[in-house]
Formats: sequence, C-alpha cells, structure tokens
Amino acid sequence: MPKLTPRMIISLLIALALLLLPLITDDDNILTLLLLTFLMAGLASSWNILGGYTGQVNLGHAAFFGIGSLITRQMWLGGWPFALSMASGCVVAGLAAAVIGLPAFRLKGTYFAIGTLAMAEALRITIGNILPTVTNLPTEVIRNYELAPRYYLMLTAVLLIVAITIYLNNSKLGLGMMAVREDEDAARAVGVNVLRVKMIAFVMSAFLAGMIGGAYAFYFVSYYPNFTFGPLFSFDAITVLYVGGVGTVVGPLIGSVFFVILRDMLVKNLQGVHQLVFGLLFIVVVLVLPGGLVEAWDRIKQYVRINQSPTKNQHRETKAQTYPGENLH
Amino acid sequence: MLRVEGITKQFGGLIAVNNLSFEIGKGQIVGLIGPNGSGKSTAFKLISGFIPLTNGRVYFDGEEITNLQSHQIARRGLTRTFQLVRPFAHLTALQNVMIGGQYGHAALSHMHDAKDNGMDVLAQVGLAEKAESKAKDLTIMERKWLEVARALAGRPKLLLLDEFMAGLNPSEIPQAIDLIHRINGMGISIIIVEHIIKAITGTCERVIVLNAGSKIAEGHPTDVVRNPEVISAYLGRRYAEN
Repeated sequence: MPKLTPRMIISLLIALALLLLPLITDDDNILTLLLLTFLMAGLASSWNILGGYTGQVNLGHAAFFGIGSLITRQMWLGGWPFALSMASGCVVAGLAAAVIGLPAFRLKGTYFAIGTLAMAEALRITIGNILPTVTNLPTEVIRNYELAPRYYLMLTAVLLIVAITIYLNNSKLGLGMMAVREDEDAARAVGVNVLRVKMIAFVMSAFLAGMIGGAYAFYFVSYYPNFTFGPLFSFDAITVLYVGGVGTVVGPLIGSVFFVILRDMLVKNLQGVHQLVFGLLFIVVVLVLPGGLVEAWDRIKQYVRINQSPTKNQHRETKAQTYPGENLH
Repeated sequence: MLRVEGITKQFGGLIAVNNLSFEIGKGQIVGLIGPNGSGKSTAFKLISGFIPLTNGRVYFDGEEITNLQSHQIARRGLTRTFQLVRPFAHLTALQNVMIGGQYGHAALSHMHDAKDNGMDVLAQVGLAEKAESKAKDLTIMERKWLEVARALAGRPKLLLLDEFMAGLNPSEIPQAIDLIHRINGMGISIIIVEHIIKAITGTCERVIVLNAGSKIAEGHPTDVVRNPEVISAYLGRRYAEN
C-alpha cells in the first residue's frame, strides 16, 4: 500500500466532495455544469489512453462515443434494462475498435489520424441516413427525470477511467504503451509486440468512450442519433487534453474544468466565436506549452524552488527541460 | 547457439547481403566487419527479424527463427541494439530497463521484480544514480550504456551490438570494451558490428569480414587483418599487393 501523499489526499477530498454535492445542493445549473465537465474529462481521459500513452492520434474518437450512446439509447428505449444496454454500448464500441484497428494500424502517424477521422465521418453520415429522426426520452422517463442519477453515473464513469489511467502509469501494460509511443522499433527490439499493445490501447480507449456515450444517452433528453458521432466530440476532447496536459492522469481533469468554465463564459458573452477561441487556444498551447497546464504548474514549482534555493545559479544551469507531467509519478 | 544459413537480401536490383552463412557458439564474441555499405547492418536486421529475408534460414538455440517477427525473436533471447541509440527519451532510465525486463526474454511479470532487476542492471553499467533521470537528459555515452542496459535487462542469450563504439571518444572506448567483456562474462554471446578495426581486435575471438554483401574472410582478428582480400576491400588493391 503506497503512503498517502498530499496530492492523493487532495484528490480523495475532491472526489468525496463531488460525491456528496448532489445531497447538499439541488441547483440544476451547478450539477449540469459539473456533469458536462465530467463528460469532457471522460472523453479526454479515454482518448488519452491511445493518444497520450500509446502515441496514436485518433481523430475519430467521437465514433466510439457515438456507438456507445446509440446502442445504449436504442436498447434502453427498446425495453432492455439500462445497465445491460450501457454494457452492450461499451462492448460494441470496443469491438468496433478491434475491427477498425487491424486495418487502421497499418497506417502510421498522420495517416492513422486521417484514416480515423474519415471512418468517424462516414459512420456519422451513415447513422444520419439510417436514423434521421430525433431520439426522445419516453414521457414517463421525462416526467420523473432527475439530474442526480445522471450526475452520479457520469462521475462514476470518469472515476473508473481515472483509476485505469493511474494503473497504466504503474504497470507493464502502461510501460509497453509508452515504449510504443516513444519509439516503435526500439520497443520491438526489446520484445514489445507493438501491434498488440496498440490494439489493446485502442479497444480500451473505445470501450471507455462508449461508456461515456452510454452515460450521455442516459442524460440527454433529445438529440439526433448521429449528433454524438460529430467530430466536435473528438476535437473538444483533444483540446481539453492538450490544454490540461497530454499523457498525464490529471491533465484531462484540469483541462475539462478549464474548458467547460471558459466555454460557458464564451457562450454567454461571445456566442458563435467560442470555437474560434478554442482553436486559437489549442494552437497556442501546442506551440508555447506542449505539456499544457500540468507543465505550467511544474514550471512554476521549479521556478519557485530555484529562487528559494541557496545554490540558485547551480540549479539554473542544470535545469532540465520539462515534459508533460514529468513530476507526476 | 546461432546458425545462419545462406541468408540473402535483395532490394530491387541491389543484393545487400549475398548467401551469408556463419555459426556462433555459446559464450563467444564474434565481430562482423567490413567497409561502409558491405551489408553488416542489413545482416543484423535480417537476423533480428527487422526486415524479411529474400532467401536463407536462421536458427537460434536449436529452433528456426527465420520467419518470426522481431519482438518474438527478442523474447527468445536474441536482442539487438541500435547504431544510433534509441532510448525511450521521455521515460526514466529505470522505466527504460524495466520495459526490457518485462517484455524481453526475462519476461518479468511483476512490477517489483522488473524494478529490482532494472536497478541491478543499471548498477552493472554504472547508471544506478541516474535511475530517475529522463533518458533524454543523459549524455551520449550514458544513453549508449542505457541502451545496452535495456537489452541486458531482458536477460538475452545473444546480444547484437550495432556499432556500439561509434561516437565515443578515444578515452571512452576502453570502458566500452571492458563492458563488452563483462557482459560476455555473464555467459551472454555477443556479435559486434563495427568498422573500427581496433575495437574489434581488442574484444573478438573471431571476426567475419563482409564486402559487397558477401563473406570474404573469417578467422582470428590478427590473421584476418593480414588477409590480402580484406586489405584490398578496405584500402584498395594496390595496398594488398605490397
């Protein structure tokens, strides 16, 4: 059992506060804002497994979010128990990744990214053609609609993804993923089955995106079935992750809080241009602060440490260049 | 331990390795030398499964490994290093060697075993103090050591060192030679690709000389460097005649 660090205590306190919050307040605005934050955190964290840890940029992440929400919603409205519907959504999303992964991983880097984007768009258009009408929750569900269960479901899903990411940081599988991200040939030379590691990461990432999709299908009252396949869900997740800190556990969490608050402010005051602002923000982060807010925090800590240290100049000379989340674990 | 039978690699019209055969016994250190472009590195890639063979067979430890993939070959205990070092740059030195121990021939499935094994190996190459440093923050020489440590962590039976001495300064070469002897002392067979002849004569009991993809000589280093065909391959025919 590892000892409790201040960071772990703070994390547990935040998790506890989030768990207790619906008991304290029934302000739907606060709960909705938090739920949307969990949604972004979940999407970004699930993308992180393939993109941040394994180094494969998937621009079609929305497809798996979409599959999860579609299967869950259709089965649930078709009379199946919700839990079974949601589990099926996750499994189908994971299976879809397994089917897509085998041909897609013949592509590398940018080509893989473009391939996944094309796949997701094709799926979005197909779903739009097959299911062109809005999906609504049944009236009896709407009549008894309560936000708290939706809030808890989304929170649980995110906590599960975070737990998996923490596991990856300290496991053989996670190290194998990072080895693939760093250098595929070197990984191969020490015995890592590169394709297998990529496939596992892709299926995990898609399964978890499908889980977030299922929670979304439970929450959202009315939407077009192909809405959840929209590219914005992929790009928002990636923006959140890069702003927060790619390849880290807390990056997507910090990023999602920042993203949802900023989006809320922008939509209220500058409607229509918030996408533009996020696009610019993404470019700035990638250019100036490739490790996101996590790196900014590390830099501040380092700066403070150097300026308080008696051997100030010596430290400055040996100061290492930082990388996303390098002081995290 | 390793038996190579008539391996050939053809890139379009170019025959990079032509019908090369040799054998390596347990615990031997063998050098593979030859001028630039003679097919040494290609031969390495063929043996370690990084590129497919056009023809020929490779046997390792009594089993045929001809058509196995590179990671399967590494897992059986035949591990290569790279000419230009390729550590996992953003991971720590310890994480680098842990990956070697977990995925290599050692197949250590528990994290603490991989960590203990990793620390042992880092200590062997003198990097114990750098365990928590990122690989990218190490010096060139430390990175070379790390690359060897990562391979050693997998407890290989045969190590292929690709131009291990390249880029080291003259004072570092004796340390490198010493390391090779220590690795051999653990019972690990070694093949060294090198075109610095001096580095080879100090370490290898036998050398194989390649020129234009074919084996032109094989034997004890001191005999081989007197072989007229070897001299002509390196220096031109005029020198061989004198």
